[in-house]
Amino acid sequence: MMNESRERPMNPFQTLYVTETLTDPDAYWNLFSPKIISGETGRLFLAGNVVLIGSNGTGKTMLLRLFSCEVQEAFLRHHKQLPLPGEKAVFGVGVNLIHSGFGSLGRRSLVGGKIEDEMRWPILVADLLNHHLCFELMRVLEFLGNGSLLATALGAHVTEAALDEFAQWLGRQDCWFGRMRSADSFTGLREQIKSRILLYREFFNWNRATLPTEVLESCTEIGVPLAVCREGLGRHGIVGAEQSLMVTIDQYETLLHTDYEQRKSDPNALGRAFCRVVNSLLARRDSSVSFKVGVRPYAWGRELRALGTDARVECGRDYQVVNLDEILRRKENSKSWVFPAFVEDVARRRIERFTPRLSVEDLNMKSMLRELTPEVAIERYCGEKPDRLMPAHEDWPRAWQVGLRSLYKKDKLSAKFAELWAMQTLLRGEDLPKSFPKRNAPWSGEWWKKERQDALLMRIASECRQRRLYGGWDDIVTLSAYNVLVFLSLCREIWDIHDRAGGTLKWRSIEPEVQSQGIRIVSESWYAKQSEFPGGSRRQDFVRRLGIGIRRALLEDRGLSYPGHNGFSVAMDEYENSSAEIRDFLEDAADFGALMALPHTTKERDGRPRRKFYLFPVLCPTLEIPAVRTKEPYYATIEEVASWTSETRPTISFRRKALVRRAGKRGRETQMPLFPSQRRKGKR
Amino acid sequence: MRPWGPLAWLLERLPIVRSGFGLLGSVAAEERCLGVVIGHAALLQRATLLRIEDPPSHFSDRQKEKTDVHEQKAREVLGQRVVVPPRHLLAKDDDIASGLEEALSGGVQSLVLDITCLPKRYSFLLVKLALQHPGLRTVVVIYSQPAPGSYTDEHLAEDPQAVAALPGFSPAFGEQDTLVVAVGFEALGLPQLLGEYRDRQRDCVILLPFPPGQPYSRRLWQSIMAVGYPGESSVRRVSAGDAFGTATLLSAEWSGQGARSNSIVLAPYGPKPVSLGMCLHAIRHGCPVVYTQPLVYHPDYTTGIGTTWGYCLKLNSVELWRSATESVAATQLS
Repeated sequence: MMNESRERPMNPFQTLYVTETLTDPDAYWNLFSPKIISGETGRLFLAGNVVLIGSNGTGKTMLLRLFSCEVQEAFLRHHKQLPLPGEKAVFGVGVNLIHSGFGSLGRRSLVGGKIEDEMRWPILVADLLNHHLCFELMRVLEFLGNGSLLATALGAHVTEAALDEFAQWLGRQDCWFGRMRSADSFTGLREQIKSRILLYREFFNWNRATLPTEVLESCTEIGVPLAVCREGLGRHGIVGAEQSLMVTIDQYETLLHTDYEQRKSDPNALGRAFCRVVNSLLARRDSSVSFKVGVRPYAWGRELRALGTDARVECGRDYQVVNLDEILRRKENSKSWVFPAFVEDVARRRIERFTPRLSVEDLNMKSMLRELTPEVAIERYCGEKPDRLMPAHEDWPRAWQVGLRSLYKKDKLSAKFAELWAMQTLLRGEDLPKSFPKRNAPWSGEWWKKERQDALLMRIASECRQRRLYGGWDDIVTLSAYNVLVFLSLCREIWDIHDRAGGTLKWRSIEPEVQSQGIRIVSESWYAKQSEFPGGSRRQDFVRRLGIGIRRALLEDRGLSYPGHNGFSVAMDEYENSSAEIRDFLEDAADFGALMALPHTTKERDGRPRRKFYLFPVLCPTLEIPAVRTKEPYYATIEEVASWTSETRPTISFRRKALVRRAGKRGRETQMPLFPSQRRKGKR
Repeated sequence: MRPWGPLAWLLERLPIVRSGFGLLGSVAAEERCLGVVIGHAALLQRATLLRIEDPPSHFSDRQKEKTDVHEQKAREVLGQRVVVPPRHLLAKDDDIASGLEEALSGGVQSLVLDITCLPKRYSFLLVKLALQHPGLRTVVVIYSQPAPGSYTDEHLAEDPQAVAALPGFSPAFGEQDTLVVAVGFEALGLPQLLGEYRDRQRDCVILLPFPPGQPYSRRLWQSIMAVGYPGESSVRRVSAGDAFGTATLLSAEWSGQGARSNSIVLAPYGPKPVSLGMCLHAIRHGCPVVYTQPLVYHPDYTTGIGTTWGYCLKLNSVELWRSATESVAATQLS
């Protein structure tokens, strides 16, 4: 037997963010899964403009950091492969708009008049961004000139003399309007650029009363100085023209936030104008400089105009989109779903790194999580009272009473499905078959059962006054949706609880009870986390009310005729014509991990395109509702959704409408008849 | 010299008692916004109490109702000496700064700046502008505690905005290597802030106010645990009431010779006096200050009025605050 203390590994999921390990290439290499850089994501590292869209926790910043010269250098120094397409290094520079202070612009008056100020501010932001990017490029060049392996990988020839020549040439270019002519060295030029940034900062921070007139009159055109820099690097043989300069701009949404709270729907809002500055970079379509813009889903598309024109940047022409949420989200065809393979690789890499003493084959997270079949789950809910779920319907035909009881003794799950099917039949106002089906039972259809299984288990747990149990890899992946942060949080909690529960000697099997406990902790914390983000308290309240509404609807739908009512759907035309407030609320909710928004292929005859919304899966355990999405969500009108999301915070309910709609065909029966066969006769 | 203490005690020792002073503060839903108005009305030459409106929320009616009462009370006590200009919580810098100009109209040379109910995006900029103002000879910042144990058990605030620098304290470049976070009763928005700063291998140091004041030690630790306890070596205990002490600690550790780093970013989530200390350090050393401004404040944030504390930053044009922000070797403090 192995020594217990030696066998006990540290929790491999303790560090949630790979970006926290960026300065440790060994750790990064072990924790970073290159499976994310395949197919569409690989486009990010090729020449051309890309808008990288991803909600919190999908790995957007992690990908953008791969452009950093320090990260690439660390990989090369440790003789590790670069996790980039073709293992080719990229010539990257970047700016994080939050960290560089772009979130606090536009708050001071420049020249006094509001209109003139609002015209001038975007020009200033463009000039500041130009200087930031050029300053960062010079920092990278200096880095490459200090014996960097990355310089060799890029085929760069960075010498002090070459840089000085380059700087002298650059200072003479028209893009600076003569301001940089005096720069006679690389250091001198860099200091002049830095001075300009600091001068702006002094003004923004109220350390100077006004901006000098010459600053206001010598603003550079967006993107031009960087393009000239790139040209100069080629001319002076420093970095060959074959290397596209890749510029990352992370946290684009920061610009939109400038005055979004006060001027949400104002097309002339300052924040929108600042977004137009970055859009203009995409519109340049300069093959020597590629821009990679990182943005949250809600912030992309609200303003697509470029600066100084009403022309919009166009996807496909000006830029490509890499949408991490879409890439990682489950599609209709589950075989093309990349998320499970991605997170399986993430888990394997972590376990391999942190449990070196144990065989990797033995420590596969997927196989460690013991699956909980529905049959076993029912046994656990019943506990010491195996008959507590025995169907008891004294008013039903005797053959059915006997048949159900007999089936229950053999197969509880099938008996509960049979009971459900019978209930559905009676609620439709039809009679049950005279004899209890023993072969080809109508409730044994694969899809019929699949669509109701999760909701049925929720009801059974509720009936037994127990919390829902979860178990198995599929449950973890379903609850994570497309969010690797949620996946890692689930693994971390489950691992911790298993460890505390003395599971050291049984690493190969983590029991469903342990998994369920970890899942509930993460679910509760994800729910609590909702209030930590902008607009969070209202969103959290909406999530709570929607969860209660869904649970009530599913519990009251006794025949589970509408198992898909754990989500709702609205027609796209209604949605797009609705107020910006409703759309913003729902899109923000999707972005902050409160809802999932998906296109909905309707089964309605009108065929109107729709958009459907579900609670984010990891919230479902806390709200005690099924996380699995089955067909046909609740069809809501936009007016209903508007009332649900309003500040009055009403109770959310959609059971009544659904039943009335269906029952309308059969005389609006919302109650199950006490004596169904007699009632049917009476009608005739 | 770091003159601070209960306001009544402090005023006895300041010459402004004889000439009177101007007050810049706010009327708000919390009763303690009137601490100095009620306690020291006779000394006030003129009072400018900004009425800061939050964006509409489920608390708006209650906020308005309570603020109306306090505005009425201020008018009763001060009569013609008070003005109550409206402002928006997310006002532009110019609108915040104009509050100071209004407070100084009429030749006020001694200013009492009451930060008790001023949001941080106001108080930080106003402290900075007041200290820079050439016409101000004396600046005293004050802070009124609520009645003991009167903080609401619910969240004090809601709906934090995205991470942004406070007005007057934005960064120039994005490479600060240490994040210094002061914690308080409310961790709201702090996880979001830490999330934004996780993509650098940077230090995170927590300023822990001590004593937290019963019954709040548990709540304070809940805030710390919510963001993850970084280990004892990354925790600095600061006096909850001593703004100068906080500034001194920051300067000793993060500026001048022997400093751990000159590149820090401050996140003031702690008690107001600790925030004031951070503000002074940031003014002197040009550090960025970041925050997640809540859009909604609980109408019952606190009740009652406790002790009012005063911090004399500038006296007869002598900048007393600077000594607390001098760069001293860290060893001198230990």
